[in-house]
Amino acid sequence: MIGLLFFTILGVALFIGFLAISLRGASKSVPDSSALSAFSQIVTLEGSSFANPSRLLDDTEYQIFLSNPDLHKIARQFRKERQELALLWISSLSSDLKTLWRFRKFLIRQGVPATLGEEFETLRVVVLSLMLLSAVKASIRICGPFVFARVTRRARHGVDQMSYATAGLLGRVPRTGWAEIERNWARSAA
Amino acid sequence: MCLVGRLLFKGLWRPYGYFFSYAVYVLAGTIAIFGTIMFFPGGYSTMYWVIESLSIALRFLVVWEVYRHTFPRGSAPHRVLSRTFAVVVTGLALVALGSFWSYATHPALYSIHAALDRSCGFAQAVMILGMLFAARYYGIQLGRNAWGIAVGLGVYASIATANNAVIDLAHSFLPYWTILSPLSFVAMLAVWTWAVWVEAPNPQMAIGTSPELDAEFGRWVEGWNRTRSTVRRVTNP
Repeated sequence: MIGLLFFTILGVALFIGFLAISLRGASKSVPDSSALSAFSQIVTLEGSSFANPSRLLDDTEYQIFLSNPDLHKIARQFRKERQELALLWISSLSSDLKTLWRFRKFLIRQGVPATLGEEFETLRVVVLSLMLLSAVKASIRICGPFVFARVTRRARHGVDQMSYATAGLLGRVPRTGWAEIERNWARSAA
Repeated sequence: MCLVGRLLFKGLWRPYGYFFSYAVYVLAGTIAIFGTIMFFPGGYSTMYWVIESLSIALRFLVVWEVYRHTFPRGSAPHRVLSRTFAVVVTGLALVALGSFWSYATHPALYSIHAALDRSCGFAQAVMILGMLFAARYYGIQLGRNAWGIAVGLGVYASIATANNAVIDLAHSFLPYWTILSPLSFVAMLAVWTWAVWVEAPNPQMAIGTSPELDAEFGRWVEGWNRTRSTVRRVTNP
């Protein structure tokens, strides 16, 4: 009887697990490395190239300062500086997102093929990511940089997703056309 | 028939040989069952359960198909995971065998097919889920083909596990089982057909190592061993 209950519960749990995996869908294909490197040459992304945001949002040192009453003033100063840096990083991510969106529209103007579904998906990612970034920015201003550290770290996910999608779009252009796209993009950005 | 046709038409029967064998078996089994109903109606139930029981065992071929496409021989994840996979498979086989054996100790539970289906279904679902998690952990991209095959089988095997346990728990569940079981099987076939509708294999993974890399690694290991013996000499003079 216990064995049967065990199988029933595990069967349902496994079913829920597979359902969750199927709802997430197959992982999106990563564009080939040459398209990725060409893309990183053409478009400069400041926020997403920031190497270690976890370190920025880690409150260990702040807690050490706070544990000593003599260092409370330093802790406050430390928190303020981290808050400013975190806000700067989130602003850079927002600006990256807008740059990526502009570059995507530019590629489509240049004649790169894209489906309507992909465009809707891009719009969804941009809108949701901008909303999340604004919410994260507000939370950093109100509650400080350490309270929602996990959500803040995840804020870059939308930018990464968008940059992969845009690199994939660039990958549809023959390699010989990348130099011209780079020139035209630099001209349009100037 | 549509699934087998699609595999043949797209030429996917070559790379997905084990999966194709299982699909052909399902098709042949269905035809055999229909043939038995038509010509030997008395032997229908025996034929049905024999074909079904064999089908349960053959589903392991599909599990192996997912494994060999997700972690191809010679790739780095294969080298890391092959032993773990072997241990997990042995463990799950023992669990499945044990739970199937324990069926005989409960005289109130009479469905040998249900016992076999839930034991093997559980092992298959856990293997598939483990592979999907390992692939996610190592950042391995799964193409639509392998992903669809894995998820389709996983969903079906997990439903079969729960379903076959519940009918032995409460026999009143039998009418639902007669609907759920074939429906989930048809759903699995539909997912598989969708998965192989287009050719979308997993992206290529780096296989093997170059001789230069091997030599470099050898030099590194030599240097590291020398460092360790120096440290040992300094700490234990």
